[in-house]
Amino acid sequence: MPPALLTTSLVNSIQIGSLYALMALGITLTFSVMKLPNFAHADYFTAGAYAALIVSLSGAQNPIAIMSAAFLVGALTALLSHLAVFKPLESREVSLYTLILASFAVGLIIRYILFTMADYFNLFDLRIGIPLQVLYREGFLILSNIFAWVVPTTIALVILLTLLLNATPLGREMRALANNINLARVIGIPVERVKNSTWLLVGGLAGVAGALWSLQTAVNPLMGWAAIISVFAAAILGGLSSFSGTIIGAYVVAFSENTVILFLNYSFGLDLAYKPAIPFIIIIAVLLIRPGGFTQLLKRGGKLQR
Amino acid sequence: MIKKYLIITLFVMLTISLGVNVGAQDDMETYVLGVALPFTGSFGTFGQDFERGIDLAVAQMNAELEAAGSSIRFETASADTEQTPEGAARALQTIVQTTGAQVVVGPLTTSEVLGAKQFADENGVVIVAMASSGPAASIPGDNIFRVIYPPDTFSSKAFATIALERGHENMVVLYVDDPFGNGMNEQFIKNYQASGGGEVASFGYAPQSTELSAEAAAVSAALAGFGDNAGFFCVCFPGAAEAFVQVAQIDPILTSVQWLGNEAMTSDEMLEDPGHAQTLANADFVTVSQSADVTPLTPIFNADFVAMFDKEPGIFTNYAFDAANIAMLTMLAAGNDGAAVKSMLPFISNHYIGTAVQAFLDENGDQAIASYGIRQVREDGSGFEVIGTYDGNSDTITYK
Amino acid sequence: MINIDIGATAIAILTLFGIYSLMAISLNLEYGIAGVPNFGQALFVSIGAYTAGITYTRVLPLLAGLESVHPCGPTMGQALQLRSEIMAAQPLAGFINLGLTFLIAAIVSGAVGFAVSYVTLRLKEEWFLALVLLVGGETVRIVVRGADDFICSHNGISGVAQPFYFLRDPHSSSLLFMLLCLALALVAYVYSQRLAHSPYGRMLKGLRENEDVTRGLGKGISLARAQIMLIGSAIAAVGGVLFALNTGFVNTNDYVVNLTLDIWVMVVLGGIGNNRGALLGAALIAILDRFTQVGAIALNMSGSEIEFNYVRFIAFGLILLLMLRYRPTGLLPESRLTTNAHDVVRRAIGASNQPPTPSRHRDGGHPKHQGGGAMRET
Repeated sequence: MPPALLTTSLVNSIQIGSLYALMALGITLTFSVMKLPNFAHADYFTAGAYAALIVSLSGAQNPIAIMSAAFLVGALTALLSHLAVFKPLESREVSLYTLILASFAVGLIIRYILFTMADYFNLFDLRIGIPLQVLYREGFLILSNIFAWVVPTTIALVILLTLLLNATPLGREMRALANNINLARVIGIPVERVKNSTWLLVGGLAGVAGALWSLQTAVNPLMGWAAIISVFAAAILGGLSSFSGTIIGAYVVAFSENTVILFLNYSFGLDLAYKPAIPFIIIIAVLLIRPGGFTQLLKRGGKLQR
Repeated sequence: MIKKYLIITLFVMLTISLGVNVGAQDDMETYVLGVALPFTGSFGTFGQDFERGIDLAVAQMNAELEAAGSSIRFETASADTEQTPEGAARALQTIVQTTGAQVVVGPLTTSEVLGAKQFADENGVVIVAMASSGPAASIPGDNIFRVIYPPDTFSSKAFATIALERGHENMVVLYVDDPFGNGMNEQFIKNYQASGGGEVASFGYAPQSTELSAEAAAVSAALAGFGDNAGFFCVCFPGAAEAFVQVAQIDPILTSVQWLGNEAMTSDEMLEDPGHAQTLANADFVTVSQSADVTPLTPIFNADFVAMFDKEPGIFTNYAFDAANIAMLTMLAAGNDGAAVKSMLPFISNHYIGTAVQAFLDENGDQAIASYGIRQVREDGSGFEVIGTYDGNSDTITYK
Repeated sequence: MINIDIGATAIAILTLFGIYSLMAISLNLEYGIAGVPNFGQALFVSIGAYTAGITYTRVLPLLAGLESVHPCGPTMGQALQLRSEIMAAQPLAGFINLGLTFLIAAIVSGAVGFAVSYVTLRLKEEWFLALVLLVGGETVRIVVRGADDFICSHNGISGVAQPFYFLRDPHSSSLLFMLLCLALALVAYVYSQRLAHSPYGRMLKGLRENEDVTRGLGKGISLARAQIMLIGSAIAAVGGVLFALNTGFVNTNDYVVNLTLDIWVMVVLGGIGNNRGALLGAALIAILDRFTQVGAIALNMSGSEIEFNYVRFIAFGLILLLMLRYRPTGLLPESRLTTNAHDVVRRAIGASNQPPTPSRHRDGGHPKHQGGGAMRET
């Protein structure tokens, strides 16, 4: 593999892996705390991206403002879907598959509401108005301003999330819910309030990821749905329970979709059109061979961890 | 239980059909023009723009018929193909069984057209497709006509000729991995190498991709491997095209070579982003598309479209307008009858001036005349200008 | 001008009803009765369709005593003409070919289903199987789309005509095809009803409810699950053959996750664990789809500006959510299992005036799969 190709693809892996990580962390959190594999997560992400796009089109080009709007919209969408759909279903103690189907339905509704809106205001395939610039160039290594937004934001959010989970009362309560919800209820943790906060956090993370994604590529109502399998692959690599495992998983998926496929293409002539199959193969392989994902390697046990 | 539901269904349908029929005027004859297009999914914007083109054609035709005192009026019945072949078959079935339509304009892609083919052939319904160009649907004697938009054999030849004229000794192609992209890629390689071109490295990307950084890296590396005098040819759909240009604009190699691209890359959204516009301008981006000013009908269509919808027509929308006109003219001549329309459509079509090119069909019922405009991005990236024309039938390029 | 051809509409809806019924019965056997969460239905349906694509191009010409032509590439048109001519002129070859297609599709799909059920033994949590099947279906689709050898990759195979095409009369041939679909659906229904009410079926339901108890009774669990997956997958593949024949075209774009979701919605709407519910769900989806499309046409003709096609999807999602929320057991909930012995015992203890003890969970008799390790054999 030529060094230029290797360098570029590694930079891409880090940038895209960071975005996958932000999304996959939300999936891991939802699964640990709420015991729900949420396919509507993709559409919180898209909703956040549209919020970011609309703020940007209305003139505000400050990335902080754009990301705050995306956080807010993503968080509210997630909370709303919890209050309107998942909470009533959970209170009826339905099976896991009913919840999965419901999450597909929620995603479908959000997606087509966004379609209707995008159609009405003609918002297909637009991008946030922050131009792409080269910040640093040394040999084959090229870093853009988008890279400089995506990667540090991800690192900052992951640190904040870790602090929140380990050093605040809310974090302790969330971990308690993840461990044993009945026990948590017995010892007097306000379960509903903690769940609401978790949904806000999960949706907000997805929203910010959507905003960052729309810095690097065009926004359309199907963007989240197109990325959801890769993101699930990342979360499954993390065993759906560990934060560090999920983050490593996200980078591994992005690395396979960028560097590994290019290596296979360069060395064996494998068609790049097979790229979408990579996260699928990762999921199947992990679930069959090492269902605990990286968690098994990092630590024993499957509880919500750092 | 099920029987009860079905009886209720049939009863409701009967009531609807009777109720609507009573309201119709007796002295007027209404011909239904079916419209099967993807209104949802990633091509939904195309479908909706096309429908506007068809609505404009129908409105104009009805106004003329009224002025002439004719008792015939046209009406459209449109259904969503959901962008799948089976969805196209269901849409066609619903249109025909609900309205008795004998002629349907659409669907969009070649696989949708093939999905609708069986029902159309068996039931004698005529399909007039406006944008399908894949070779898989070039079938003689069937009920499918692909008017106005010629098969990609022509444009691939034009691209190959331009690439050679620009002095590209080797080419890198990025194409969408579907019947259209594959066909274009194969024919381009064939034509390019037959006329003395060198090696071609091509990369397919999965349809509906929204993120193309790995693909851009691969293209860039392949271009670097060819060294100087290599060119790049992008066969991409909107959405993916923007995602590609987005990552390409800081790539040192992609920004230093000349680009060619298919017509779908000339969407309005593409030049709205100043960075994208500048990248394309620096790459001397050239596209081969149906020319903007070869027929007297073109400016009229554009002006009427803006007057009716208060926006510019999207790419390919004029083809939908033309397809609807050919379908309606044939119905006026042959009556609202599938078999008669099928036998007469080539004759009418061969006498129709299009908004982009004169319609003329070959033995497969596909457009046989190709006259393209060669358009290049202006240096300031503000739009495209016509720099020449390509006559597909004599394979000659004329620069202005 | 709405002018509904009621006969043709009824035939179209009933044909789809028959095809959807096969898919829904298959899922109901697998999930509703054996408890295998098959989120890869599109895969098994597509196996049937791809088989049809292969037999129509490779086997049919041989049956007609002609030489087969390579279906892809430059001879694509020639191969299409060849199979259209055979289907029009040699009905016998067409029928034998169709029988072979059903057979091969059922065997291949059944074998895949059988193998998949053993995969479950390796999985840590039961819903992982759902995910493996979901992404497995997409992986196969991407591979078939990229490979030339099966159905000409992304181009697909057109001219996969239904067997009554030789009549050259759309009304009678579509009517006969409808009867074929309904007959196969009826066979599948009767068979699965018998299966569900046999001791074997009761054992499977017991397995679904509580694995440990069933295992304690000494029933062979993994083999039972594998057998039901084999049968269910074979039925789905037969449905897939008919699905492809109904369109006349085999293409990978049709077998996406949405198809799987549609089948799940049928089963959930009708009532999980109840075969009659599966039929009702299939009928409702076939009717709803046509109704909303006719509604869209009527709205459009009346000059409405609403983009009703987006609203269709939103409405579909809302109906599903409302059903899950207010009728989680479906329109036709699973009935209590009774046996002759059960009745005798009940009579003996004089329980006829007591309400039957509820033996089901509230969502249609399903255990909550929220903990890990439910399916692991230890």
